[in-house]
Amino acid sequence: MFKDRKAWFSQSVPRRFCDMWMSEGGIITDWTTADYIFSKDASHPDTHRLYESLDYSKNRLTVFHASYLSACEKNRNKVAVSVGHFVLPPSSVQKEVKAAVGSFIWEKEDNQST
Amino acid sequence: NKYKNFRCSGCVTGVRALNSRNFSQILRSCQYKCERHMVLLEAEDRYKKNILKTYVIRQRITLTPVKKSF
Repeated sequence: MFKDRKAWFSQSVPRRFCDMWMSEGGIITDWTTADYIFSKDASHPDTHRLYESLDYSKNRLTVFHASYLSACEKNRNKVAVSVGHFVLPPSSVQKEVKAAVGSFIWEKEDNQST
Repeated sequence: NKYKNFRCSGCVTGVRALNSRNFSQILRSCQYKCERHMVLLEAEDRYKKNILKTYVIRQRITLTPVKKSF
């Protein structure tokens, strides 16, 4: 499913997501060379650092919520999942978006897993 | 497919289409953003503007030559 795609995982992401990525053919690298940046917590120091990077402010980096992977797992034989629904913005941006258009798709997943 | 062109790029499905490197640019160049992605982009832009501002300030501090007083 993720053959030859390179990803970086924040320490906030549970190990099983990394395992799943690799078992589906994905590769894990550092954040500078990864095509996919996954986190589960925007306020985790390793993720927060990315939001303060020049790459992020110059629109060359988007962090996705790791629950994208569980959504892919569930939808394996159905419609493809859009990674664009799993954008994980900085906490202050999250607040603004939630106030304007409501909860994020990954919030439901978060509650289910806890 | 004519309607394909009217779809929000942020909502496009398909495994290989979007990633962390191209998502922001693709969404930005899309004329038919859905409300959710529009709001997200605007909020992100405000945040990014602030980050860039602190970068400029930090650079100015390190690049401005110190005037020596005689």
